[in-house]
Amino acid sequence: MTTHLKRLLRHTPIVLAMAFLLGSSRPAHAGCMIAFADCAVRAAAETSYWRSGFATADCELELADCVRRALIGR
Amino acid sequence: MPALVVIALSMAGAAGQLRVHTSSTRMPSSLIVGRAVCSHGTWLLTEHRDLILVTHPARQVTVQRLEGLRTNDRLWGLACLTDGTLWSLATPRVLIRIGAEGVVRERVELRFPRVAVFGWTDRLLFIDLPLLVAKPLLATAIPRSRGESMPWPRFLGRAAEARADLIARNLVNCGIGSGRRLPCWFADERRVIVSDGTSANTVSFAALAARDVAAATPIWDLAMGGADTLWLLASARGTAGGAVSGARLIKTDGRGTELATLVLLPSARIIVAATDTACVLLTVEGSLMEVTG
Repeated sequence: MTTHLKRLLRHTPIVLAMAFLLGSSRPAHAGCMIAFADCAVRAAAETSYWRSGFATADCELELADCVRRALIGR
Repeated sequence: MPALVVIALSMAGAAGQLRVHTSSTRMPSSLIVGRAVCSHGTWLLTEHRDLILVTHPARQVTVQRLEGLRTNDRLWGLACLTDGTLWSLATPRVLIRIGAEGVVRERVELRFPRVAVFGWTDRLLFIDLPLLVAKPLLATAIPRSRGESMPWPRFLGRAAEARADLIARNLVNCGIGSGRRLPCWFADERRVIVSDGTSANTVSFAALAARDVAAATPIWDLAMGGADTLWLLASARGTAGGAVSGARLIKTDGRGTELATLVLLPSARIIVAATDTACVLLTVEGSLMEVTG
């Protein structure tokens, strides 16, 4: 795997986080997006691609939990 | 065990046909993450691990702390099956069975992360990840089964511009059913789909066209009172951008035709129980309110 490709893969979570933030504007779960972006940045700082990928998956679960509490928690 | 004494405070005649009784009991105020209706009562579960039972029809209230959870458990959902067992999600990957005494009795590892769980007859109704656009979103399975699930009618994954919105767009909530029929709805929709697991029909509500209804969550809650009665709790955003809650209770027939409506003061968090002639609500102040008519 080339160095360029490795670098690109390492930045995938950040790109995903930006896509989340830029693509969403619903105030009910806006705070969830900010928390997710923070989480994704931490995930991207992991020491390997796979660790980064697993951490990003956990970030997505945290996002799902946050969104459901905001929208259907009572 | 704090007993609930239902007191007829006043016959607030906001709806003409509907009458209100409010209890003096105060329930925990933390976020309700699950509700399950069993034959003897309704269970509510809060994010702070309060397990609340409101019995039918006496309205006796018991609050206990759920025991046996692990440090990182973060509860979501509640389901009561026909055998009386109570289930919830301790994490997206772990299903738990809760004993009636409020202790976790069993942990079941899930193959896929689960974002929602409800009860339907002897099966769990759930949403698993990943969410797939245009594919069945909800499925049912017996609690300990591995891979033997059945798709639930009508709910297909909806597309979204961003992945975060994919989760929000596909969140489904379910109300209180009657027999095998269970009403469920997308969180942002103004209609419910009532299904028995095989067939389904859609019910729309004209009352949800009102301007004060919160667009992101117009249906705050819904219960089937019986064969031909629905109790719809319509949402409204609080003043000055405050929290959303159920501001109006609308009684309709099975086709969604309005029979009576009542502006709720205080507003309601959730429906606890319903029959053809009565609907019991938990108010934002923590009291139980019984609406009859």
